[in-house]
This record gives sequence, C-alpha cells and structure tokens, in this order.
Amino acid sequence: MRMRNWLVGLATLALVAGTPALVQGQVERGDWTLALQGGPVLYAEASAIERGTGVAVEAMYHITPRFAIGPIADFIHSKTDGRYFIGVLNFGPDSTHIYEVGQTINVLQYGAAAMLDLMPESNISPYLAAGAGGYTIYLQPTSNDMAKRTHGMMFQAGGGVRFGLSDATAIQLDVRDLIYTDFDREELNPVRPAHRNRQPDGTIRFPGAEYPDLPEATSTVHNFRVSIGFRYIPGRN
Amino acid sequence: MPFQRHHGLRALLAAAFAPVALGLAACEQDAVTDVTGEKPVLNILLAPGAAVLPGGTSALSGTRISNFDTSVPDAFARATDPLETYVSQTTGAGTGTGFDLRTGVRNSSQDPRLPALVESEAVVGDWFGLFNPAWAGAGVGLWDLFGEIRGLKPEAVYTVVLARMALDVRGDLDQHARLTGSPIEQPDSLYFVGGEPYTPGSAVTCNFSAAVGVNTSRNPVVLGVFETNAAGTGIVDCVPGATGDSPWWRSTASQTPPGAADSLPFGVNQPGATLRPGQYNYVLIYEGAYVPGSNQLPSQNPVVRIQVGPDIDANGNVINNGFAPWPATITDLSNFRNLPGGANAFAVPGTITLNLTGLPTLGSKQYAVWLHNRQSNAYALARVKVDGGAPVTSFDSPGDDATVQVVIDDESGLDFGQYNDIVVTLENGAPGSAPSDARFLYREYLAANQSLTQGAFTFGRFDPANGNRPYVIGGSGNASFFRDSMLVNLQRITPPPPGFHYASYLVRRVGDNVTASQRVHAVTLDEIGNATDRIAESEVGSFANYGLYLLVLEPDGLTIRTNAIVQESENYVDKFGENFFPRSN
Repeated sequence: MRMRNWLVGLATLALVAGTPALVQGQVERGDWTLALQGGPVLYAEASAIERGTGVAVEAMYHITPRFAIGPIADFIHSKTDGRYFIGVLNFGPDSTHIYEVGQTINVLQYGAAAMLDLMPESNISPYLAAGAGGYTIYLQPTSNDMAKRTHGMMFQAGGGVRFGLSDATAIQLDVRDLIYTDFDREELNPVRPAHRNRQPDGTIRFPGAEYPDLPEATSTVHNFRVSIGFRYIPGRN
Repeated sequence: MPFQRHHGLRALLAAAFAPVALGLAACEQDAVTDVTGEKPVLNILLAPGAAVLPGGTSALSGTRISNFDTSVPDAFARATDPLETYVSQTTGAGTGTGFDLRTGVRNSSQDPRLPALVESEAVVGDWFGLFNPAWAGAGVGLWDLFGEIRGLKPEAVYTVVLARMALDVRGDLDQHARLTGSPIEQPDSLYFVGGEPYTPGSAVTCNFSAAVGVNTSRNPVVLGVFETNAAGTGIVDCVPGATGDSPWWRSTASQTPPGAADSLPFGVNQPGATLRPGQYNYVLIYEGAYVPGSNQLPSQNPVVRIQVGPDIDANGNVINNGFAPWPATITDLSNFRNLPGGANAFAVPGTITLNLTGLPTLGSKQYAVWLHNRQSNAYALARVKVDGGAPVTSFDSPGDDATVQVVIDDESGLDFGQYNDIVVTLENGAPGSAPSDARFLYREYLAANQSLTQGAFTFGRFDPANGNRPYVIGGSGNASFFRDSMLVNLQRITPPPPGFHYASYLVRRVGDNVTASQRVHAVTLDEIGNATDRIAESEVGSFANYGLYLLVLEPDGLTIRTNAIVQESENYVDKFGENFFPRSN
C-alpha cells in the first residue's frame, strides 16, 4: 500500500520536472524568500525509524543574490520499526506472547541554514544548502505511559534545483542529509525493561524472536529527505 | 495570465504535497505486531528433582592405637609388683591366698603365638591360682595350683605343665601389637629354656593327692593330669613342691612370702628382672595324659596357655613390655594417653567400612579410594575390598541405585594413623600415584583433635588447600516453547562437583518407568550459575515424544543418564495437552 502511494508521488515529481520553465524569479540582495516543501524522509536503518513524511519551512535572507541565510524548521511524521523493540508479555504462568512494538513518532527539526545559488540568474537554478540545529523526537504518550521526547544536535547538508515560475514563485526539488547526533535508539523503545526480550543485562529471553541481521545502534545517523517545494518572494507579484 | 497562473499553482502544490498526505496516512497503520499470534509461547517451570546423588556412610571398627611409644620399657603400665597379684581368693575349697591367675587363661583364639594352641573354647572358671603352702597345708614348700577350667572337651584327660619359656620375638613384639590393636602378622614363638623335661615316674592326678617336685633343672615339669566332666569342665588341683635348689618360698608359717625376686615361683613381672631357672612363667594344659617316666609332653601344642610370669629372652632376662598375663585385648582405649608410652598416641580404626550409594556405572572409568593427610596434603591409594572381593585399587559400581560396600582394612597397605580423610575419586583408568582432580566424595575419620569420626560422606569438591565445597542442589529454571524450539533458562544452578558436568535430557516417564529418553546437550553454567539450553525440535524428533526436561549430573567424559536429577520440569505434554503436543502413540 505504501509502495503504491510513493509511486504516485514519484509520478507527480516526474510530471513537475518535465514542465518547462515559465518565468525567471530573480532574487536581489536584501530579499527574503519563503520555501515550503515536503516529501519522504528516509531514516537510516540503524535509527529504527521507518520512512516518514516531512514538511519543511525555510526563510532565507539574501545577503547577495547568490547567498542567503535564515531559519529553518521541519516536521516529520513517522513510526518506529517494531523489529528493534521486542516485547514479551506473560499471560498467566503458562503462556507468553511476543510482540514487535513500534510507535508513531513526530519529529521537529529546527535551526539555521545557508544557501548558495549556483546560477541565480538562470531560470533553472541549482543550489547548495547546509545548516545546523537540533531535533526533537516526540514519542507516543499512549505507548510510553507518559509524554516523552528525546532530542539532539542535527546537521544538514544537501542541494537542489529550483525552477522559476514567476518573479515571485518557484518550485524546487531538494535532497538533504539530515545528520542526527547524540542519537540513542533505546530512547525509542516503548517496552518496559521488565518486558523486553533483550534484558538490560544483555541476555535475550527468546533469541528466536530477535532479528540477527539488524544493524547495531549508532549515536550518529544519516537520514535523507527528498522533497519538493514551493518558494515565494514576498513583495513580488 | 494571473488566473491561469493561480490555477496551475494550486495544481502544482496539490501534486507536490500528495506524497506527504499519503505518507501520513501510511504512518497510521498499527505499530504493534503479535509475533506469536495464535500459538503463544508455552511456559513450564523447573524444580529440583528427586536426585540420587553420590553419597554413603563410613563405619569404623577394630579401633587401634597409633603412634604409641613402645620404646618405653613398661609402655603400657602392665608391670606388677612382686606380690601385686598375691591376693585372697575364693576357691571351690574355701578362701585362700595365692597368686591370682584367672586373668591369664588363654585359648587358641586369644593367644596366637607359637606353638599354636589347639583350637578350643577353654576359659577360666570361678577361680584359678597358685596358693601358698600355709593355706595348702600339705607341707613345707608344697603349693597348690588350684583352679577351674571350662570349655574343654567333655570327659577328656588333660596334662598340666609348669614351663620356663623364652620368647623368640619375630618382627615387632606381639604384645605391642595386641595392646595397640594392630594385627599380628608374624607371631612370636615360645620355647622351653633351661632344664630338662620332667614327668613323674607314676601317674599323678591333679586332685590334691600327690606332689610333684620342681627345681632348677626341671623344665617343663608335668604336674599331673585331670579329667573333665560331661560339660567339659575340669578342676585342676596340682601340688608343685619346691625341692632341692628350687628358689620357691616354702614356709608354711606365714601366708605372705617376703616378695624377694628369687623366692617367687613366677619371678618378678617388671622390667629389668630376671626369671631364674626353677622359676616358671607359663602354665600349660595339654590334651591327653603324659606317659609316666617318659619325660615327654603329650603333645607339641597345648590347649590352654596361662602366662604367669614375664616373657624372657634366652638368658632369662625380662623382655620389656612382655609382662604377664598375655593381653587378650587392646589396652583401655579411654585411658591409653595416660600410659607411659601413650603421650602422643591416638586411636585409629582397624577397619573402615564404606557403604557407598548413588555411584553411577562408569564403564570406561574407575572409582578409587584414597586416604588423605591433612597436614601434608598427601594422598595414598588404598587397596579396598569391594562387596567382599579381593583387595583392588579401583572399582566400578553396578549402578547408582545400588549400594557398594567398600572395606579398607589391614590389607589396604596403609597406616590409618598417617591420614585423616577418605576420598573417593573418578579415575580415567588405573589410578596413578596421585588422585585425579575429580575428588568428589569425602569423609573425615581422624579429626584434628585426633578423635575418630564416622558417618555420612559429603558429595562435593574435596580440596582442603582451597576449601572443600559441598555440593547442594540449588537454583531454579523455566522453559518455553517458542516456534520450533524449547528454550530453557537455568538460574543460579550450583556448579557441578569436580568430575561431573551437567547434561540435559528429554524423557517420557510412565509411572516410574522411563519409556523414552534423549540426551540433548551438555550444559555449561556461567560464573553465576546461569545457563540457557536451547533445544531445536529437529534435534529430538518431536517434543511430543517426551514430556519432561531433566538436568542431570553426568560423570565427565561419559554420556549416561544418571539419577542425579538436579532439575526437572513439569510434564509439558500433560500440562498443555495434545493439541500442542500431538502424540502418535
């Protein structure tokens, strides 16, 4: 089902990419631009977070027509991969059920970024972007018995291509490497320690329930966001 | 155109955010998956089983004394003053005073020395002594050897003899061995020394009717004969008379001899004394009548031997510790440390009998029994008699439901006084000069305070240098059936004793009979006694063929299901039924 959804998204992207440029939107020094973009976020496998969907907002102040800086914010909705979080629940003394426990999560990213337009005078303009800030992962209160979140430093780097639509608008295709540091995968485990298949002392109650090929946890994970967005230059028609 | 531009913009935005919306929808799927589904993990508990562990008891018998100092001339305090045994006695003819000989009457089972006594059950009767001439009243120098002997052949004739005998000590003095309870492996030999054999020229009956003279040249001297009654009891009533150069005291005026060494019929029973010719240290009773005038004894071997004076060497000098009477038993075990030679002595068993249980049949291995010295930590291999067999250095068990009797006695080749503990080991083959590390069963028999102990063996690790560690069944466990595996978690299980390891079995038990058994794995514990035993169903065919999980102790190197079941599960087939564990039969 999800695969079919994304096929639809990719078809739309291809349609947009095939649309001829209409009008060039030249940015001048001192201009602000606003970009709203969204798309899938491909989390690193070691993060135990499944592919999510994100929406990003960027406000850029152009120090020069080529170079801009400004605040950025992302909102990502996803869920964790239950294969990493095996729960074991006894039903009376005689029987036990084993669960793969995932949960829906929301991620908020925030910070500042700089953008370098490589061909600002062109109607099709590639650009590079990089930034730093933080991320906060909001976990499901119903899964964790309380409101719970985890956070860390985030860096991002990437680039894209912008297609001018008019003097004020453009659409852009963007790819970013969202680098989470201070990442602790266990923070995403909603299973109470007493019910975890992998005990705190390292023993595993039911080894057969574990997935031996899953990657080890790391404190730094690289996640990729592929997005398509809309840029607007306030004050232009 | 603005309209067209706005229309196109909305379309583009819609197209751009379509994946976002679809992705959001996808994320709302159920995030929790029940892996087990309709077949949950089935759990059972483990508990200590009815384990038959190696064990047994030790029993000590034939207590003897070790480390007794026999170099002391009178180490056992058995010397007596010259007139110490000269006492008033009640006889069949009234009360008289004389040397009391009752404590010295010995038969074949009591005196092993040579010449060997003819087998009998002869014992002293109510009195036996050598009474003085004053009481005898037969005349100057005429004593009365008067007493009762029972247990002889009925209505048989016996000859009574006075003898001066020297002792040929062969090996250790037999009295040392007898008084310390040690075996007499090479009996000492008595022989007549000094004088010539003498028999009266006529038949003399010991019924206080005729005297026979004794002097320095007569040895042995036949005093006469007596006949037993139908019950085998005979009355000895001989009259030895001091004649010629006999040193015997002869007065009839006084009941009490002066006590001078050279006037006593039996010499002085003390170290450093000398038994002169004409003094006698044995009274012998032979079966049969002597031939008058023959100067021959009726036989080479007497039936009864009564040591009345000290043992002497060929020169008549008293042999240290060879005092009369010949000791019938070991010295007083409650008092031996107070004796002159007993300051450093201690009691040891003569025989140690082990009744060992729970020993599995080994086949390719062997059991061995060692004695261990606590102070030096030295071991010595014992030759043992197993179930009444000949001495061996190693043995096997018929099974852990049998009792094996192991006897360690004088044929073990060991001095029990040199060791403290009995240790049973597992050996890979014939035992060497030192035991293997599999010292799994032990029992002290000689404690640090030199007292003897007996009782139950301890199953565990015998390692005095680092601390013995008794084995006690401990720990718990549980097991779960998940997918095609049985996962057993063992917690805090006691480490196995040396020579043993744990192994898991699946068995089916019908009543007391095991109808199916499958050895699964050797189980190794971690440092805190935990272990996981994961059994794939493919290893055992089908879990349904069994029902019980057992954790048992196995001897190292062997794969035998012993009865040392330290953990046993619930019967999972009975518990969960054939829906989960369908049986074909």
